[in-house]
Amino acid sequence: MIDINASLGEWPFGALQYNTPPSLLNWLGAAGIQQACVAPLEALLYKDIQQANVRLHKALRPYRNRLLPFCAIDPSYPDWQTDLDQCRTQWHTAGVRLFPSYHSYQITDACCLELFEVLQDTDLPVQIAPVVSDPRMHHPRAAVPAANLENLPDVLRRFPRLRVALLNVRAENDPALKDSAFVRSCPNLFFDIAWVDGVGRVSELVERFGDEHILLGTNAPLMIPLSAIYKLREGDLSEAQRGRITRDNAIRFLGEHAFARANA
Amino acid sequence: MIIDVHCHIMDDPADRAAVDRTLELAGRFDIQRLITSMGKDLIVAPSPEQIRQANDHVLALVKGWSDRISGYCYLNPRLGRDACLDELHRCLDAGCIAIKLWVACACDQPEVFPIVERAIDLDIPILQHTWVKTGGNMPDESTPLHMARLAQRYPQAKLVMAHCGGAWEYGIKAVRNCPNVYPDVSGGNPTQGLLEMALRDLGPKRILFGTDATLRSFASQLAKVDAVKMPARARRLVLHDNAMRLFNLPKPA
Repeated sequence: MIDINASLGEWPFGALQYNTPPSLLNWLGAAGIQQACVAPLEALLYKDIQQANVRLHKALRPYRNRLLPFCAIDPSYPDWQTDLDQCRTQWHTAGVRLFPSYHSYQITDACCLELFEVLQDTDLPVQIAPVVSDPRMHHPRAAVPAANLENLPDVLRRFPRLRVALLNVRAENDPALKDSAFVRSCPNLFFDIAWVDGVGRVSELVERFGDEHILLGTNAPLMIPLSAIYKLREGDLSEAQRGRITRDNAIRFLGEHAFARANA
Repeated sequence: MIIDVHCHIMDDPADRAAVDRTLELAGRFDIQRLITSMGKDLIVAPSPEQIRQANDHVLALVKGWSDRISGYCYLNPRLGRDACLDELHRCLDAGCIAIKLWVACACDQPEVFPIVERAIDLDIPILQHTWVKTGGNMPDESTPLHMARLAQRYPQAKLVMAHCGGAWEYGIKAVRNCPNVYPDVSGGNPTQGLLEMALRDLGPKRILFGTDATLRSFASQLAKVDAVKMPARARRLVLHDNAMRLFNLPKPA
């Protein structure tokens, strides 16, 4: 199984466990998950977030066959292009993770559209996390509301080859996924189940969107990876559906050769 | 066998298949007893009629599935002492086993006191919603500090603090020195650290398992417990024994 929504690094608001490569792999492994896409938590608040990517790159070197790096890019910051180029050509990043709420931009801003164009042209998938932790429980001096991604369909129409995964969304009522027919028509649009909740909700989402857009994601180590696995158990999924959600869709999102590229 | 002390079964009791389905999903995780409250609509400041409708919904579930479902009597303290106590006794006579208070009135206000005093007389627990939200609570929404004040005023009361107070680091510390407060782990994302802190600061005898289903899944909430390494005895206390003791539940035949 592949977890497409994990992180590593320091969390400024508490003593986080399982935030190093070996401990994260052990924790994911206890839930039956063998591989994960990871981004650096420090990227939320660092000003030069490339330093967070440097730390991630160094930490992952011995684990690249199991942990795929997703570098964090802030397109509202000067010369993100050079940072992305370094992540892509020197460190073989498997994709890019965006935090629009922490970095204060909209996905329809010119800077972000430019980034999407580069990602489409270079065949790199992008993850967009409108939230990272529950805004109701944020530190009062670091309260960050969820990003509004309701314009995502416009972005996808403009960049039809861009592979996009939404992380930490309540897919049943997220504005970006309001039009289920549109979602069904977009083979490059995915969302994960880390924040999906409610009794039998995964089954409902499969019924509404089909099983080809849903990804296993845990938001570990901030959240408990076993939760995502149990949610699959609570859904009435066939073996084939389970296989698509836990692996096949992730490979489509990442690209066939993501793990081989990361090991290059 | 696991007992869920905090859930909201919103299925229509007349739709047996829907209720059976919810219970079957709970059963996949060995959640065999569910204590439900508030009917199919969650009403912030319910009228007497709305309270009665919500409790009738719960009573129908209890009557139809007594082997799996127990019920709370939902009360709005703002409706006055007599209205609350009359409704409480109607529900207890019909099978409810505890009291649920939500966000109609902060729990340290005098309107709540007659309800707590009657609960003490009857030796039944009160499940009180609590949360402390960045950005502000609803006007009458109880925080863990309200809960602590109530617990200190009534040390004999058996008080269940819902959601560990929401912001659980704050909630656990707020009631750490109130031995008659029992936080439940229901609601909120399955966040790393919650149960570890509760076990460390409160001990396993004060923690209750709940899910907030069907708003949350049985899956995400049980993962909060199953992902934490702890002695088997502690796990059993959290998932079963504490609820049996606090709610005076009968042992299965």
